[in-house]
Amino acid sequence: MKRFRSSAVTGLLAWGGLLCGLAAAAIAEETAPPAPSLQAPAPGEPAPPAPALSDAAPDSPELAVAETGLPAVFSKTGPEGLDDLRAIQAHIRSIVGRLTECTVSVQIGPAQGSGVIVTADGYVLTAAHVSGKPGRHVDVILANGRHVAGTTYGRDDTLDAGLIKLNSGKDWAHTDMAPADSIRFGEWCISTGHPGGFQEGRTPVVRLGRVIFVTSRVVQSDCELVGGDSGGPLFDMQGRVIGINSRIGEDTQANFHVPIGAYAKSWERLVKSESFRSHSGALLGISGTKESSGLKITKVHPGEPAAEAGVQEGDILVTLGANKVTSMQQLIELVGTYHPRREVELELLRDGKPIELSVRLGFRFD
Amino acid sequence: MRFVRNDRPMQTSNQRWRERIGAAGRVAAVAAALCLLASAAQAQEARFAGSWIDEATDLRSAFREVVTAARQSTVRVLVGDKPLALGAIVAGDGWILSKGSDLQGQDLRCRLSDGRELPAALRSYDQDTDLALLKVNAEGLTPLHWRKAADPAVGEWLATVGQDPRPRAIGIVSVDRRQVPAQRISGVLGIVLDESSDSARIDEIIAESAAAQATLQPGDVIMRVADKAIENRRSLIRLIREYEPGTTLDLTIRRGEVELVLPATLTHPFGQFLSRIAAQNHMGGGLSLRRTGFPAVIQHDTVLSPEDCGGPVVDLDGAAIGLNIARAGRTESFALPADIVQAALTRLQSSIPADPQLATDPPPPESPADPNTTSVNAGAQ
Repeated sequence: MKRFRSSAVTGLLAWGGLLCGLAAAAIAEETAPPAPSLQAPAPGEPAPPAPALSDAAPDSPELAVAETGLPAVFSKTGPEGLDDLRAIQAHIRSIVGRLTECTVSVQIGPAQGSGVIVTADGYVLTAAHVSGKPGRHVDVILANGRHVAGTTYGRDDTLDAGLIKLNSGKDWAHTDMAPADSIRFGEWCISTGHPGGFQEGRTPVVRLGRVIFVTSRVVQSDCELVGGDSGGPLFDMQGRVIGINSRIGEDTQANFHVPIGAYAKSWERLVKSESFRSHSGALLGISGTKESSGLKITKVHPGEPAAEAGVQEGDILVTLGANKVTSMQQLIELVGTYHPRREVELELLRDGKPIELSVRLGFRFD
Repeated sequence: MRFVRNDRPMQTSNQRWRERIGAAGRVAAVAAALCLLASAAQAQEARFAGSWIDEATDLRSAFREVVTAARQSTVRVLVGDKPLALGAIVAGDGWILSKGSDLQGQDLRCRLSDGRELPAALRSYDQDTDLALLKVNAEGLTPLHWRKAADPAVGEWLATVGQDPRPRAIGIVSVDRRQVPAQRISGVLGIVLDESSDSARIDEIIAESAAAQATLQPGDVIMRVADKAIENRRSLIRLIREYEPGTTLDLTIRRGEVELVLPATLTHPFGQFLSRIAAQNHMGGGLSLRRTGFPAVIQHDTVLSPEDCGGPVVDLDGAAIGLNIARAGRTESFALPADIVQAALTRLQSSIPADPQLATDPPPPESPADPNTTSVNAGAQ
């Protein structure tokens, strides 16, 4: 997917309000996270296999809709009249019971959020800022009001993906996770959860909307979310989980979800209760090759943060944020430890002379 | 923001519309997200409250025939040029129901679907449902047609009827009918408690709050409220909730090695300070002042402005399932079901005083007789 010029864009994640329930939900003003460390898999039993995924969606929307048996209206721009509206309504009505059945309220210490059961043995997807550290006790409330005990597992703190498992039972009502790359701009989606916190006698709150922005790190929909919804599911029209509720912004359309790929790609780490970070999506905007003093910059991408800051081809990048730059791969990882929009200092050599430039990192759209 | 319009040839190419709207969509989605940086208050006045993509795909046009009939029975209630609420015609000789607590002020007028604006007299008010009965001088109006079947189910489309060919807003049923107990308005202290501590240790003081006025500081531990000892965070939260806005409480706090007693006067949540969750609930538009204390509501996900409450909301057959009674939160709008409205109408008609000048006005929200605090249907807090 084409990289977007990001210098004019403020990071969607930078200011969004976390949806953590009744505890104070702060606007996320994050400092630079520590460098990611790949943790070795824990010794002992191998992780259970990832839950079964539905078949990958083919490229064409029409074909996708035909193969899945969904009503044709879901591949249209939008409903054109009453027949289309009835078709949408009938379909929503046919799946919504199952979706709310799998939706849970999640209470961990002072925090309240939501979650969704995705396996028969009780794995529950939620948000990392709800589940927090591994090994904590969870009070899970099913849609029918029944309380079940659970435990927190691993989390990806950058993408806000968290995992919980119900402590017992093997026939939990659950729903599939969609394939990692199947989310489409404009597709119809349903969100459920417990906005405002769990309320006795109120089933998970159902909202209908459409996906209005999608990258590998964030999905945005117009299903309104609010505190308490964190960790709750976003479903596609096949009833598969495509996202997990994460943050909101001021506008009613600013509703952000963790894309399902964040769980699928890191499933084993989550199951092994690892706490980890992934690339933040921050963007610098250069390419280069390894050199004795650092990275020789071979390309400065026009319109991107490095270009805006005055970095030039031929410069040698020595340090970023006081970290030595040793290779392109290492630079990518290093940039990924910073929050998009963070200002960082670069030390460069230009014609042998040391210079310093300040760069405001941008936001990758991939 | 300029949207890419789809000209809709007979054979719509789905791939093309996704690419065209997708590119604009990415920028517009970011722009929508950036909108939060602009003043939310300014944005509310002119902007349609619905979704960008629904406008770009002209979703509301698909509902034209759904709202055609009910439009005849829908009015706009105004004071001067200011829209206060929508309303529903319930009798051909000019009886109209609307949301009472928003109808403050003299010189109410109703604008009918044919454009006529008529003076409206508020004749009676029902506290339980927040419905007001108005009278205009007219004949031959079309009363609203109500749904006779059972409640609409979760997932059914609902269209909010306005005065245009397209609905004012659309959504789906989110939760089956349920009672919404009245929420007493609790006073607000204005602190964020340290979540890592079990004691009532202050992490943050909210600017201009009761706590700030009382010169509380981060790090203070609240030991007593009035004469009650505080064991932990939860007991402090529970206790503060019992007090009304304006109550002054002597707080005994420990600051380092020192114990101090500081008086704090709790503020009103609708005043200068909103809690973090209330603030989130207000992100994206205003809420109705009276939004709790209803005998039964059908909750739906329609994004509604508070001044667009009070009028009919219809199903795909064009029958009114109820009247919108509140924009209750960022994720929720409430409709009073048709049977509840009709029962209230009976009460309202029988309570009209013989002398219209003795008509009961709904109390203004700030008064001690705040509907939010005195509902006969008060359930558990």
